Amino acid sequence: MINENPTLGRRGLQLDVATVVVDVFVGALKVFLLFFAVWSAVAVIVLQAQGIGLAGESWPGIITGGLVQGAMYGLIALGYSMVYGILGFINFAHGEVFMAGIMTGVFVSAFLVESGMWLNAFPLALLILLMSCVLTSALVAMIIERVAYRRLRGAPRLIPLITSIGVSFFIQYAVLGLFGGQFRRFPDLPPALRQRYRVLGLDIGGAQLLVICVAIVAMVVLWWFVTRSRSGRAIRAVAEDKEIAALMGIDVDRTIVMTFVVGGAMAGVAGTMWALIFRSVIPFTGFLPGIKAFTAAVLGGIGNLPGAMLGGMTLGMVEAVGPTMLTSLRWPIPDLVAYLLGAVSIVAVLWGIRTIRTATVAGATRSITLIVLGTLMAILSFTVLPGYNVIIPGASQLKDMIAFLVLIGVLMIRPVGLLGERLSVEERG
Amino acid sequence: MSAISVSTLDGGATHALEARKVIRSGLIAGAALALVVAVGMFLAFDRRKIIDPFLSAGYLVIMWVPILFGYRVSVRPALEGFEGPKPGRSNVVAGAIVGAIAGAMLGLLIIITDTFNIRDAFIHLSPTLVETLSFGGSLYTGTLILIVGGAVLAAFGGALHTFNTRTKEILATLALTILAFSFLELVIGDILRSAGLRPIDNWIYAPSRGLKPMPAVLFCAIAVAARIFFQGRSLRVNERYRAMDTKGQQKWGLVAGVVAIALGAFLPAIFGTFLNDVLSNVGLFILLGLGLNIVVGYAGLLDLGYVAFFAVGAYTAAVVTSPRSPQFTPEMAFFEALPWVLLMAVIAGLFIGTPVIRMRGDYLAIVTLGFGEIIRIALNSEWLTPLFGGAQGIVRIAPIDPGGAVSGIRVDFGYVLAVAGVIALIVGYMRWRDTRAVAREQVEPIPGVVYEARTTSLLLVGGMLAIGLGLAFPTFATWTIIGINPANMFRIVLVFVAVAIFVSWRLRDSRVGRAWMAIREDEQIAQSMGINIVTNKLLAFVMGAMMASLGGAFFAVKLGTIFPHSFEIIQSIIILVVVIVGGMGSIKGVIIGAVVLIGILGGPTQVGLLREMAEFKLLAYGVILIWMMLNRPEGLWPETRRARELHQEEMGQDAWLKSGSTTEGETS
Repeated sequence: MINENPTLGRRGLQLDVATVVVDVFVGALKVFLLFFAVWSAVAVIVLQAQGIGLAGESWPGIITGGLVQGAMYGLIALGYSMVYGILGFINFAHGEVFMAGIMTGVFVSAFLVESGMWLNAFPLALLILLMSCVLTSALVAMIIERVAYRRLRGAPRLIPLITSIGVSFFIQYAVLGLFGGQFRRFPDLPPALRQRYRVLGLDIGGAQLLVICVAIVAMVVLWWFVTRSRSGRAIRAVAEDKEIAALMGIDVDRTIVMTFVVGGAMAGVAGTMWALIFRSVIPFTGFLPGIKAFTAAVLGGIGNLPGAMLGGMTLGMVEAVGPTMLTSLRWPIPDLVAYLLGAVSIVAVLWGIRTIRTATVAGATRSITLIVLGTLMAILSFTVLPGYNVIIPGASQLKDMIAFLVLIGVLMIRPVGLLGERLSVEERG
Repeated sequence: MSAISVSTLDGGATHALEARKVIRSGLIAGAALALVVAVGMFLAFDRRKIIDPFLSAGYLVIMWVPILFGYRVSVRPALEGFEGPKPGRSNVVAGAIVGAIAGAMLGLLIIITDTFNIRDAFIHLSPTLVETLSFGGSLYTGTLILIVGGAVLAAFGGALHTFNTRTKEILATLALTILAFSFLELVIGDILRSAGLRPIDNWIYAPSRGLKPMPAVLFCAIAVAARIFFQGRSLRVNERYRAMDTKGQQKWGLVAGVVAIALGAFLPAIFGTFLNDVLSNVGLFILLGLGLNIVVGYAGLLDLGYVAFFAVGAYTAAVVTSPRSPQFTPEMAFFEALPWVLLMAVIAGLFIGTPVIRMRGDYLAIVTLGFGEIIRIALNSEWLTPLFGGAQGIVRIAPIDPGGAVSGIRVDFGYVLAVAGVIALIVGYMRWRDTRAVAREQVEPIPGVVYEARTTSLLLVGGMLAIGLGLAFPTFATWTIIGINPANMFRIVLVFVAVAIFVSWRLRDSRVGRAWMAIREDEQIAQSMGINIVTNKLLAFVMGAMMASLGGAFFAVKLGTIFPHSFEIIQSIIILVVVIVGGMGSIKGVIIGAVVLIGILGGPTQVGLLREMAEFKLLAYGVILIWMMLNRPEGLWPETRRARELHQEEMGQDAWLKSGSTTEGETS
């Protein structure tokens, strides 16, 4: 990133001002994002411990909501992650694959209600619903690959990405034209799923419990498939290196189709979950969860399957807890801590000034970052932070914003994600 | 990679029908037909008549499908040095089969619609549709008509291969004439009525606004005659222009420019409201497209959150001009606000550009998309409502009286002069810096570019004078437009567009532009050649942001009211489609793209000439995007260099075929 070669002239180090300013800005932004994340997390915990935060009983609800949402993101993220790992582009249309599954689910469930199966044999009806969602999603993913992406292998990197945006819009508006834009609702769930259960000390809704179980089963099946089955091994081989895999006798085209099918199937499972939890769908249902699931995939480390699931869970939790944090963001610990922080910042500034006469650009940039950041932090610590207590109205509207901030933060601070990315040799570049 | 099966290209084997290909084509055509009908396009267009009693636009919407697929099924890859098979009867037969299959599928859809109750799911498959597509007869005669009609149309499509160029041109002229006169009915009607020629309007158009048969035939005859008459002449003019030296070309270019400006000032007066409105939307999207073109086309940074800068411009203009802005009401005039708009754009460009600059291409795309959404969500939220009005937006933008009762625009020529001065100063400074660097032998001169010292000093001195005079007497001349009159909006956007075109054109050939293209083609090599990646990328972001913010300010004034709702992702995507369809990196391409897409189909919230497309245009944008990426990623009117970049492999193959070399590995 930064030129490590010292370019010492007669007057010392020659710095490119713009580059240094950019590096300092980015460095400061990273630290501020991290600081903000830590602060809000500490604030929530401390306030909770002091008993001034949210009422104790609302937490299990938030956490289970986050878990369910996170499992959904995780399952969708698997599709993004697998495709990115093998072909190296963001398949924007994956959110629409997810939506297509739900849309089919609406008609299937209406049919099941009509035939009486929904009421009389709900487990069977649920299985049929799941199968239809999974099949549609997998089929849609397969068709997309065949029609749009296959011809773009080896095209410049941005071309498949732009194509996938086109596919995404095509599916959204085709569905809008075919089925109309109104909310289509799923039938009411049977009483067993509307009850609440106590599991591991959490009070959890029946549907949510079911959905978490389904997600776990889907993950286990996927794990078995990818690590044990022949096709799964082929997928991993192609993800590692397409050319070598082809030389080993693996049909690369078929394996890529298989990847799309598996990713689509997982999106289908997530679609069933959506059907049980949110119980309505419009043609644009898939877009935002799609982008967030991509965020989850990056968060966990793109190309990394456990990472996708972990990223999904993390994002779901952040989204569930985030707005709560924002509404009650204050400086919960003694003001002394803020002053201590200020003192540390001043030491950082002094250290930066001391080390600025270094021989490398990277070193000089680091020193300047320390000076700028330390000054800012010192000012903040002595003025704003002690006793900070600002309530943001309507913080729940900012849920999506938090998800995008997480995306930006992850890509700035740790672009390889929590568990590290796994890309094919062609895409590592 | 280079497996070109030469055997299929020669000999009589290709004359035989490739059954699989034909059947597949037929099935795809059938699916396309079914989609067109099932999304409701057929019935929506059926209300519009092309030629009054005979032909409605609905039939046109389904007729092009078999023609296109009938034509495409027998397109063969043309390779230099190989003679393809002669087109003949097999093309017609292949086309007919394709059309018959497609027609049969549509018939099947109609029968299914009639037999089963699927209206709950497919909202557009209505009894009216069944009635219309069975042509007044029973379901089965209807299907028969569909099959036969499809076969005939697709056979015609296939037969197009056998026609010579002249026949094809005449057919195209006929089709274009009919389409132009029937789809421009509103515009032509407006113009004729404002010229007091209502009887002529009544003679041309039936009460349903379809063409009457008599004028249709007459116009076709005139068009074909004109086509034949001008055939050779336009070519000769073109040749003469090419044969001129640079001086002569510049002279005629100047003449063309002056004529264009004169037309731009005069024509809006006779265009009706509708056309002016459409054209000012086109202008807005040219402006936005040129800005995105700098970011995506020149520098190769896929910015999916471009709407963020559009929003920044619109909201800045709204806040500083509107007396109803919630918090901060300086109540500036529109042109006084422009410097602030540009300043905010620079800040936003730097702020969004800096964190993303070191990310790789696709991550950059998704992070900019995130920024776009963040800005929209923030503007929409309760949190910032005290500043920006939340979901209610800001009303009464850029009024021309203190209270804000009258909307309109006051053009203060002092500020215009000052802005022109700033541009002249920047251009002059860049030239001076470049000349100095060349003189000190720090850089190589740009090939073919000579900066005359006289012009440079004129730019610098004139720029400073203009800024001083403009700011000293901001209102020495004013032009007040009362009410938001589309004709005047069109004139204003024309000025903005002219500035944007000039800036894009000069930037492209400048040192910065060359640096951008080098970065686009290979970032690492560009860096090792001594190009500063960081500053150049940031500059691209900032330039793009400034053009978008100008567009945003214009958009805010044109509507008089803005809401966060106007700044959704779809805006970014549509601007991207405009750039891609025209050709990334090509100024002409962006203009063509905006005229074709925004003018005919319409923008995300704006109406185009094809008003019936309103519901379907976003679907069409999706299809166009996919098609362009698969078949012509370089766009309709590309820069030569960009096209070469994208077709490197094919050109390598062509060269390989031509050289007749058989050694492996040379093509990759």
